[in-house]
Amino acid sequence: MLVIRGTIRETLPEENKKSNQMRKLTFAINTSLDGYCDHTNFFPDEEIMEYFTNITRNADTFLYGRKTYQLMVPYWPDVAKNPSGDDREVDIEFAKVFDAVGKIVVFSRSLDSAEDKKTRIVRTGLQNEVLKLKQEQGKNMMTGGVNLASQMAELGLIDEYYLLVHPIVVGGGTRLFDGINLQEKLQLKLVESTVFKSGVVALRYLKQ
Amino acid sequence: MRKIISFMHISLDGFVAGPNGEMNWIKVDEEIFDHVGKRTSETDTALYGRVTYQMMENYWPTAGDEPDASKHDIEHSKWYNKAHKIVLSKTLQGADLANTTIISDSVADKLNEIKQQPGGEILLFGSPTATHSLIQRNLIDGYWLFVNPVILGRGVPLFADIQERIKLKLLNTRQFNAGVTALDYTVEN
Repeated sequence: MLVIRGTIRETLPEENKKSNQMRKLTFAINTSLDGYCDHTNFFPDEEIMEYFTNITRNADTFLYGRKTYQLMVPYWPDVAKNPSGDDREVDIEFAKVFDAVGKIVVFSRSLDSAEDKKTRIVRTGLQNEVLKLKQEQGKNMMTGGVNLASQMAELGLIDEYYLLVHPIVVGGGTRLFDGINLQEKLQLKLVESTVFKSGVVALRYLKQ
Repeated sequence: MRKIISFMHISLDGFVAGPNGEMNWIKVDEEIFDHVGKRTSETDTALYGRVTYQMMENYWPTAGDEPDASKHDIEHSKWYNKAHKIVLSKTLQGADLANTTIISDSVADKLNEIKQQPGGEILLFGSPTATHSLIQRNLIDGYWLFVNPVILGRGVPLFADIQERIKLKLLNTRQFNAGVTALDYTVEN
């Protein structure tokens, strides 16, 4: 049996590469093998931080639900501005790339106000808002977290999925895509898998 | 000691079947059959729950004899007929079945006894109900999962009623042209 010793990346040919006029919505998340995504289950090592950083470089807009927004902001902008001795190089690099993303849209009914000027709160009309944003010029949009992403997957709004599957079965918590109502199963196309030293496997899919 | 390995096709959201048992989303082709056949041929023991066993029993004994049998049909039919089949069932009668052991009680003791015997891996094919019960008794030593590029939303999960975290070690992965990724884990104790 082959033992995983380092990062191995395999790719399949990407079809439909001809430039799409609309920009993509990318979703990336850490998950256990049984689909639970609570961030407390995982400690992202350097390889994983770098992987997320590189995905984030392609984005100029974040779409978040309230919980993920509050988890990320002001935490990462603060690291970018005032890194502490505990922050690794990879954390600081992620923080800088995160902070360079120019626009954040938070979908929330309860959040009163945003932390900063680049954040806009949207109360209703998820589908229309995302479709409108996709037609704007710019780099990709990126989302994370479970609730909003599951809703957007259900509505067929996510164009690219990155699932980082950690080698653990946790048995409970917040489950990705839990009980979503699909008219038809959501068929994706595998384009790449990356294996990390930690045994995490990053699977990258495109919506068909 | 021999290992019990759970072999499953799963959706990206962790289901082994749709809400009504649908399995038409599972992608298999020659490339995948060859990969599976290689590891399967290294052992001679299969483990099934009753429902999966009855499905297998209805197909594999003669699948290789059909005029339109594929290479995979012929190979796996031959393997199946020779294999030692262990079936977990409270209701099946079959003391006279060749190469077949039916376990209806003291499942852990009897499986542990078989695990002590010389031999290769014990491959638990599909069989979600049996798999759930063996996971709860810590009897699964590894997972050999074929992750399909599809989100089902609902269905029969691979992992259900997990009481304690299971730490795994990734041994190997394989990406297939069909868009399926094989993940091979061993359970870390």
